[in-house]
Amino acid sequence: METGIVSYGTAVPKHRIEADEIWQVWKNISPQFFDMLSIGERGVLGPEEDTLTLATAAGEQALARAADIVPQARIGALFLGSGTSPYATKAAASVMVDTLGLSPHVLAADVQCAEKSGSTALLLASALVEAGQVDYALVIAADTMNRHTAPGMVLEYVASAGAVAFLVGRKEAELVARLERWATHTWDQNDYFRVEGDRYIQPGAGFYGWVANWGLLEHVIPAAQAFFEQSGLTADDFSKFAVPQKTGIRPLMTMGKAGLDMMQVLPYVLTAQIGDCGAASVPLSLAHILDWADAGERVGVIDYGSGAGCDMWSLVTTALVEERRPSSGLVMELLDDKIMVDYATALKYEQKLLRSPHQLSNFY
Amino acid sequence: MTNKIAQDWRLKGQRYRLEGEECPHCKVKIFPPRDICPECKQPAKEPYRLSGRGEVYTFSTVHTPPAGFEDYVPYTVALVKLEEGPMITAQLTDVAPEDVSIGMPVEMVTRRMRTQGDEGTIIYGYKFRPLLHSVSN
Repeated sequence: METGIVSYGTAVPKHRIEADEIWQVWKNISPQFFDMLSIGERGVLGPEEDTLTLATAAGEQALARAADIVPQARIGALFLGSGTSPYATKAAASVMVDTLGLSPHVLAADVQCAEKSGSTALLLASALVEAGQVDYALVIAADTMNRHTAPGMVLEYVASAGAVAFLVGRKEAELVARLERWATHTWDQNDYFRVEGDRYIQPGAGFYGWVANWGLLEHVIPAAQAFFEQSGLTADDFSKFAVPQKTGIRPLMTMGKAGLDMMQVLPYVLTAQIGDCGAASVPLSLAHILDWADAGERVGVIDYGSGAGCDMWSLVTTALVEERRPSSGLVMELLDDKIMVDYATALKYEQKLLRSPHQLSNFY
Repeated sequence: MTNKIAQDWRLKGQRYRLEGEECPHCKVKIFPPRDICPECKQPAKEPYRLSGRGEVYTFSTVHTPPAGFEDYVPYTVALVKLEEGPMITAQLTDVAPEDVSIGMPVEMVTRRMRTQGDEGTIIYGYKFRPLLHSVSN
């Protein structure tokens, strides 16, 4: 492949809640699982946040970081990878063409493939860029799992939100990381899903135990095998990996089944700090890796969409990853910048409380 | 709430991108766009995208909101003095009312302004949040 990442941007909700705060209400899981599954804090969506606002914030940051080399008018495509778009019918990407101030002549679309929506969107965008159909493409992976997880569901301990944007280009002299190759594995299997008209995501195979991760393994293993066979690379050729991290057990399973080393994976797992950011989860881990990467590192990305598919791709960082390293807004800074809330506030913010349709008339 | 289709479409530049105007005569930046420069009274129709950075000039906290804003209570409304000069009224977000102070550096962020009841679209627009690490939590 002759494309790569020119810049990237990230956004997560500023409000957070501790898992223990949720547990005090529901007590529906043994707290010993918190350590086992790396459950710590998760993002709480502000009342006026959604997938589109997070995606806009991440997109603005990616554009600002490349403003000196990429004129916005040369961006030819905008893909929003998400399973939780605020509109069921109408492309949120079209709204974002306006919020980001892009040319109305960009090819814009929402791309949905569960939690790997962002990865899928990036591979599609990369093909357009490589074919010369567009000069640059902006790809944003964003999800709001927290708004779409029911109170009292075990997934609530990790359900979070976030967005990560990648500006994809093909000029070697502009890339902080060059995309190398990819492989995928896609078939129908039961895992987390949401039927049209439903608000809440349901577990197709439970939250814990082997069966809960059956979908993960049946996608990750064949995708990784296909990647290694097609590329001739081995796990030892990589320095770091961004892997599925809905809970802390998933990186361990991925690591074991794909033959990765613990130190290639675990330092870049952010589950305990921010929870499961859905489509932004693995991209956030990748952004964290790029924040600190040296030139010439090969980074692997394994992104699994629940019951939908798994992509594995590799990229190699260039000297620009050090020269153009962001001076502020690093992933760790975003994770540290937070306001802790209690469970009642989280329910109010995420609009999970039944309310009177006549709130004002109670007083006036 | 009534759908204001034409108004929402007409205002999207200023709501989404803080798109104001620059006076071609005296170079004053104008927001919201008004086509006549408030300084030199000359025609001013050049679009100008403001940076979105500024500081809190003054503020007040709302506990009893108008319809459509119930979800955000309590929220702080501020007069924000933008770097380029214009003063605009906007909601602050991602900050507790007690942590807001005059002179606090803020930046624009796109958020939901309100939803138009069960049948309308979602209205997005500008709010302002503290610059990263400008508030100690």
